[in-house]
Amino acid sequence: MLVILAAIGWMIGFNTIRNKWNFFWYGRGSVAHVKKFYSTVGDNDSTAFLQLFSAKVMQEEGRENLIAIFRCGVPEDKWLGKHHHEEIIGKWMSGDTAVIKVAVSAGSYDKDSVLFKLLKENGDWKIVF
Amino acid sequence: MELPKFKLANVAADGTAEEPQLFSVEKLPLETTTGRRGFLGAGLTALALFANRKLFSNKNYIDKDLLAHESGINGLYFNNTGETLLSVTSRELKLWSLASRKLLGKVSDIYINAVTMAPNNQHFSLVTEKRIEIRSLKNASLIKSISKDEYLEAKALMYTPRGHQLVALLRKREVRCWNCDSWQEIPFFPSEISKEITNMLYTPDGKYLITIESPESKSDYRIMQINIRSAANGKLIKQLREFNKSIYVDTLLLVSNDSRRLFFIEEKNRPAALEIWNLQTLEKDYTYKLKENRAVALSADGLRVFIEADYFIEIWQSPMLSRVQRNIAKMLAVSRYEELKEPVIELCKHAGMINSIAVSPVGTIVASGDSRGVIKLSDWTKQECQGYLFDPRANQSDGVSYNVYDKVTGNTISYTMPCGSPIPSGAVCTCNCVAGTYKPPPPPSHSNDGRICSCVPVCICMAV
Repeated sequence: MLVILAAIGWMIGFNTIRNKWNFFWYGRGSVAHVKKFYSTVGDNDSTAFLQLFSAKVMQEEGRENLIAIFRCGVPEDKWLGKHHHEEIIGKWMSGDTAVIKVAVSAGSYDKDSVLFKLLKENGDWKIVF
Repeated sequence: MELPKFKLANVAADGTAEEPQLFSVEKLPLETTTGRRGFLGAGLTALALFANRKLFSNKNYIDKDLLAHESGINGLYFNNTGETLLSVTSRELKLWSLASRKLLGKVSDIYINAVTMAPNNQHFSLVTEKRIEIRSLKNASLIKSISKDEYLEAKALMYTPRGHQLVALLRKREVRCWNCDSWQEIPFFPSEISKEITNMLYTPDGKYLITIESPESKSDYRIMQINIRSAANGKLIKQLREFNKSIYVDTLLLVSNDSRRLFFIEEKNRPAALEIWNLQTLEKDYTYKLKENRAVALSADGLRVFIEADYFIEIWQSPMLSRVQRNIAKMLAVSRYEELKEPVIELCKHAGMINSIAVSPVGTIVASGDSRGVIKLSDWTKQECQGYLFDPRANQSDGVSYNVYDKVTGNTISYTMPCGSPIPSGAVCTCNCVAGTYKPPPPPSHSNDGRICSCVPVCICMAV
């Protein structure tokens, strides 16, 4: 019995450590990419915002649609208006894909958790859906 | 240069009205042309216009209101063609022609539970205390009365999308159904849910029956479900979600005319969330927190929502989102379509709290009814008030109604405004009182001695 429990504990521990190692080694830059997603919106920098998405997303959605939704998130007033609060609450590597769980709120609204899926494209992380 | 022309008819509070007459500017009737005193008045008024354009161009500015009913409006309903409007108070119903802005007929001294327009544009139905009445859409005359010697307290009345059946949802969570050819009562399907529904609605395309149900099988009687069912056989297609509310709470269901969107509010007349569901994907697009919701209406395409904001109407945009846009909106915490808006448009301020809003299914006209019995018509694309629906017999004041030719569309727009009110936006030419000379008319009497606009009238032409 003890052996089984020890084996389960070891597997859980091993997987956790492996996941952390994978993320540390392979997922470098992905968290910064997610943070950049919010900073481009906060800075109203649509050019930088568009560069965060994969070529497939750009092709599927088109520049105009992405800009339209980008504008909805831009704070009305940089100092007094609404702004995003994001907090990384989880991160995993799955093959070539980094998945980052973020709790996000805008202004005083309740926090909601969202998943960012990131894929390496020509050496850079890109957001995919 | 062609001079502007207009039709002018005086409408007195005693119910008398002149036939509208067509005038060109240089042939105005004697009492409205600019005499020596009028010339001075016109000059002063024009000066005031230029000096304070904001005051006169303010579409919300109201001097005086004209009443359509003597008590607060509870409901407004357009027919399918947008030509006719029904206005309902607790004890009265009036039928209006939108083209002429005239009262076509009325039904008084009855307790009105629920009203609905027939899809065939021939009649409408209403539930009174003990019967269901079918009335003509021409003059509100009674066509058929489905008499039942029982108390019928209905929450909603509706036709099936093709108009073959009339369905009444009673407060005791019972659904009753009548065949529209024979007017015989027939069983409502699906029979297994007909005693559990607290609210329901057909999509106009006839595809879905949307229900709010409180299943008796659930141990907690407060659990309710929003269900999408097949309109053909009542079969459950998808349960959108469950929520906790008393079964006695009134929920609000609206579906856009193109059947692409469902709007849902958990509790009417309370601060609540307005949910917008996509009926193609059966997924939720937005949630928007309303401070209160006495009146909510939709544009025909469901992309704009008209919400009362106490004394005026706000128009919000709620664009359809693509899959990627919906994901990014979630990442940005843009769950409220307030943040997906173009600037809010405020329409036609009322002096009383707005109780009801209806949007024409074909045109751009929005009707809003308030707690004092006033019904105003606005064109939301032009962001302008288009006057009142005016029943002289409900008023103690008088109005001026006139038609203005819209040079852009070539249409004639009818306006009814109180005497002495500012010139409506978009008017080419109108006659009005010289500022400061207006005197309210005496209260209406049964004799024909009451007349309108005790003032020095002046004609002002505005460049458009």
